[in-house]
Amino acid sequence: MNTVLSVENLSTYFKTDKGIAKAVENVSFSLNKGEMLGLIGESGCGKTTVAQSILRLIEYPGKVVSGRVLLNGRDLIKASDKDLASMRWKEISVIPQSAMNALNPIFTIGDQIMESILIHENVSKREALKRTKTLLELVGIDGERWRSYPHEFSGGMKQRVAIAMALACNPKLVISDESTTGLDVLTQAQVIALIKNLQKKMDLSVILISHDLPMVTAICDKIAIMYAGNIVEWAPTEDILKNARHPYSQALLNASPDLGNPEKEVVSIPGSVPNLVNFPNSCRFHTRCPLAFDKCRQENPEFKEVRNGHYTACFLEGVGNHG
Amino acid sequence: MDKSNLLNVSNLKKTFIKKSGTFLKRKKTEVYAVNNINLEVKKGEILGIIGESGCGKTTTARMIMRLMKETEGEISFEGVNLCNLKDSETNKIRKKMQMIFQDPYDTLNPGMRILDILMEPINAHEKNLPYQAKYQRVVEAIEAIELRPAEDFIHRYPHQLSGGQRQRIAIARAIILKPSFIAADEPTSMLDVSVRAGILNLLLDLRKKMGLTMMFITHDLSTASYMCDRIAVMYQGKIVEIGPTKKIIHKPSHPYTKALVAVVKDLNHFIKNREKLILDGEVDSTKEEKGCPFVSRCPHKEDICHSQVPNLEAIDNGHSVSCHCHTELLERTS
Repeated sequence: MNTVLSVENLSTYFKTDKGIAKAVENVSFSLNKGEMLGLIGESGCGKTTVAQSILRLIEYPGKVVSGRVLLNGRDLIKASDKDLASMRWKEISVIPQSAMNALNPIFTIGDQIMESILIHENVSKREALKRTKTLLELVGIDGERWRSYPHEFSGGMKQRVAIAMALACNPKLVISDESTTGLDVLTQAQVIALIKNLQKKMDLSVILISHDLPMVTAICDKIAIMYAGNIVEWAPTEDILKNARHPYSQALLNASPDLGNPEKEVVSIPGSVPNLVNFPNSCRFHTRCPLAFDKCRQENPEFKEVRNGHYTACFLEGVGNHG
Repeated sequence: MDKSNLLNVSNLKKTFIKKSGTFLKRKKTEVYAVNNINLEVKKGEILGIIGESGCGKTTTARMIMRLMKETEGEISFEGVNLCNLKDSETNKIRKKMQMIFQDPYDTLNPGMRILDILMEPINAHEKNLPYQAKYQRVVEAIEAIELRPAEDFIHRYPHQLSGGQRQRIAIARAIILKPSFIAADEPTSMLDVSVRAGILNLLLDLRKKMGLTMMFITHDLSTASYMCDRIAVMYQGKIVEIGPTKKIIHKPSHPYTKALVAVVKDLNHFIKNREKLILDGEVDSTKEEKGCPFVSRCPHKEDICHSQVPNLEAIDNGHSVSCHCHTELLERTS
């Protein structure tokens, strides 16, 4: 299979008054063509920072300190601003977190979608408008509504406009950053259904950033679970559900109620997420891990493949069955 | 009236006035936030209210808590009609019913220590207790919410606590007067998954220990199914379906409930059969009520749905639904 995106040992640090916050450290994963990867974690675990690092949107005081992000073989971290500008929208695009704020209130949505087409492709305005209408129809909005302003749309529709915009220049990779958070359950499901259907139709590669485990497990091919700046486990969805190896993944699976299994008792994870400023070089989960031992407090375990396509970072891996 | 009911709500309505138009053409439209709701909460049960944002869940709770005046209707709590009470009498009732709010970052005064925050309800309602006894009550409440040892927390300020701990303090504040009824308004929606479960289990535990009756407002069906004995589904200010949790989950009868259950139970199934379950549509509460509120998004609508408002009808023991077509739908699915 051909890899669209491969992220290798990506680290992004933020300078703060109290020291360096290692917001993302040593993150590696890859994405094949037509694959949907769910990036999951609690708030503040670095999901969005990973996305921003991939897109080179990190600004001072943050900095990508090491690692490579290869998009179809080209390193985005080293690319010049000019190259990057030509790749954005055309090869990689984003559906932002809150579409309510992502659209400019004083331009019609047609103008906003057309803008990226006109910048990136050598087409006439008429052609761009025609494509805009097709895009709107694609996401289930009447094409003639390109004249409307964002405030004339409901939340779910604005989200659809944001999706149409992300697809404007036929990108190969779309990053959806919590794009359904804040919408109502049914609207959310409708938007997710739209993303999933478009992904299949256009053979897109999608990174779906979310904190909603049931939703992600339902529609993603692979899942990467993040905790406090590290990816702790990355595997096909099936493997995560049936055979999660990392204690955090297991705990996360046990923490949300399940409609299909009403008898299941939900268990919370004791403690809270550690402060990442000047975090010692230890396993980041050790403060909350029920199985932590001395080694976990002294070293951060390596992120390695434990089975075909199943990666995890835990010292207990290989010691015996801890699941 | 049934004696086993702690709370009875009948024909409750709340309208807001929406102003629109320019200076000379000013128009006032009535918006129904809550439209003719009837429900009862039995002693010791947890009644879940689910629905999307803006459907009137919170407005209902706020009216019951007397934080908002109703436009029409009657609320009776332990046999007392709350709607006709004077302010001084309402204050006395407040001791018995408390509310837990959504956002633990907004509801605790940042300038007050935990001790002061928890002292406030006692000072308001049981002023005459000696200080030692009040202090003891505070310590007990903090221990009841599983923050131990209480002395570690009592002198802290809210910013020194995590989100989950703050929500626990908010719960402590609600239970410190030993109320019989608590309305929890989305108490976990602002919290991370890993802490959420702790709060849910704490509430279940408190209900067992203190014999609490609860109204649990949420937009998440799986949380509701974990917490509640009965669930009421609201849509645009109306209860469209109400019944025991098991019935709602396994035998949803209203098209809206069906869509909700489908999303949570099997998202892939929903994605494939989206058109059969729900139509794209807008929620508009300013429209005059003529037909069923769900008609614009309902895939099974018929002529009658446009012209006549359906009533909440009992279809089974304790299970009611407000839909013209539910019997046909049942046949079609089975």
